[in-house]
Amino acid sequence: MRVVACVAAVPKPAAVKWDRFRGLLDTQDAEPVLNPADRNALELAARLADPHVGPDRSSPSTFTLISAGFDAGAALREGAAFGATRLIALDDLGLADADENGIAAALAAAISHIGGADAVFCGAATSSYGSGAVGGLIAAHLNAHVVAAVVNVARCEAGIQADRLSGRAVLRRVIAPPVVIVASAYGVQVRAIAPMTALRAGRKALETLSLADLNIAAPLPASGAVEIGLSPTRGKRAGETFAGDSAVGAAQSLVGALRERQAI
Amino acid sequence: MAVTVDLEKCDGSAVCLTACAFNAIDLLGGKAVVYENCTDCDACVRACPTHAIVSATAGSATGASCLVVDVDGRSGIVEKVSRAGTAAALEVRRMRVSDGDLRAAACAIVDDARDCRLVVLPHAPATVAIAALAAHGLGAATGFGCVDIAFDATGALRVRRPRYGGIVAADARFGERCVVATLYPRLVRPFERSAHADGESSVPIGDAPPRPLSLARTLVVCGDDLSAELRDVADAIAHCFDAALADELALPGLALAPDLCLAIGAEGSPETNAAIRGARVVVALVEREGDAIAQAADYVLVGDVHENARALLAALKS
Repeated sequence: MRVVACVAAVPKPAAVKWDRFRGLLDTQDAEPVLNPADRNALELAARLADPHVGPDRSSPSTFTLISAGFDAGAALREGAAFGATRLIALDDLGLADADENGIAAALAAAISHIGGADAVFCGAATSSYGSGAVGGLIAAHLNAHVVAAVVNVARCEAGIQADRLSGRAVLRRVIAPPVVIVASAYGVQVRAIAPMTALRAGRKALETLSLADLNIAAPLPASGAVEIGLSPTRGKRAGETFAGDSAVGAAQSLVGALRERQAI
Repeated sequence: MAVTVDLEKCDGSAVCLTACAFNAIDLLGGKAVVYENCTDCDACVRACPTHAIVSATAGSATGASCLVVDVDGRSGIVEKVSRAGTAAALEVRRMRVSDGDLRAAACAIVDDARDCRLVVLPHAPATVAIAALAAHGLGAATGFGCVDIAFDATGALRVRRPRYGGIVAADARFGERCVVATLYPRLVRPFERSAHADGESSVPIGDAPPRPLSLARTLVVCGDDLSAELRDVADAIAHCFDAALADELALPGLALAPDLCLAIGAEGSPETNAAIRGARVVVALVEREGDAIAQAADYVLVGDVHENARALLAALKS
């Protein structure tokens, strides 16, 4: 089983602040860390790559981590503790301004470059950009199946068995490889990593690939959106009170105000 | 309504009733009849085994349009997209797909959206993947995870998307290309689908774990001494939003940043107020205006909490 997990580094979420005096997002004190949602993807990838589980125990598994863009090395070193056998960083100036479409194209090209994969794992979303679309976009590039909101995986005779969240139920489905598996943001029991394991894993060698190595011509695919500004979402409290003889009238006024504020 | 039924061909199989997401078809005397709330999504046209239902617009060249995609009947985005589409003089159409086989769902959208200017799906893990596959198939621009969507005076599509856990929002503008977008749903329809509805080989194996409060976009906080009846109303309000329901006692120590927080009968201890400080909009239902939670809220509904909660539920449902 060839398992690939795509991970990203993000500015440490708790350290990102809105600087209201300068009107800027302040990420200066935020060190790069592994995207929190990617831990769930790494856990699922590690389960699938585990050579001691599944019907084909004699066939060797490979477990490759790939990261592209912003501080890829930080994400790979942290993610390596889940037992990855190969770490690949995509490092290229062309990735500096890439959005999810560009990153997905580069990751898909890297997966093809290493000979393809039976299962590609992605996190639900990054804490910085937050769209969660990279998994679907990689599947589009690789022409692979895709399953989202997955909480558990296992190997079986027919391929890969994936348990996914659907509304208030967990559904089990068997899929033939290749498949892109987008881990759920919750409901995955992530293993504890011993400090010594993390330390040793962090010393694993990184392979670095550029866009030229992947035969990708600039410019990378992009969403087509032109960003025209950032603004803070939390403002001063409105402080409106609704009261009166009629509960129905007050509730309707409240719903009207919420609609106007685009809160519902 | 641009759908007609050929009564001679109709065999009363009722397949169209199942296909219709809007309850716009019924059987009268063993024949299908289409009501005026038909949205011309043509789901019944495609589903009819005897080809008795015909779309008057089928095969005709339609102008640019806007396609709203319901996933398993769960949307909560129709109103906002309809408003944006209508303001830009776009025909707004609706279609329904299943999240069982994401590639099949994307193919159905690609087939239906060739002439579309905008295709919008509710934002959720499976629908984002469907949108990505559909955008690839259509060669469209993408706008994932929008909280707001509108056409500006020049006819360009503008979207607003949260970044960095929602502490900032990024505004973006698109050109003339078709855009496939996902929009965070707000008021959603209660989740009625069965676990088998996806038509795939999926097998239900258990209940989903509860969503952590830190990931909830809408949070309903209940006071500690709510009656069972009021708790049921709070649960129904949470269901309207697909929101997480939490007791006030469970909040201390947490830092939550939901888009909307509804506090029902909560007193607003310092710990509660600290936990919900990051919420974009806070609504409090309180007995007295002087309660601590009222000081931390954007909107306060003062009066009998039980009566107000029921009135709010009715207003949300209407």
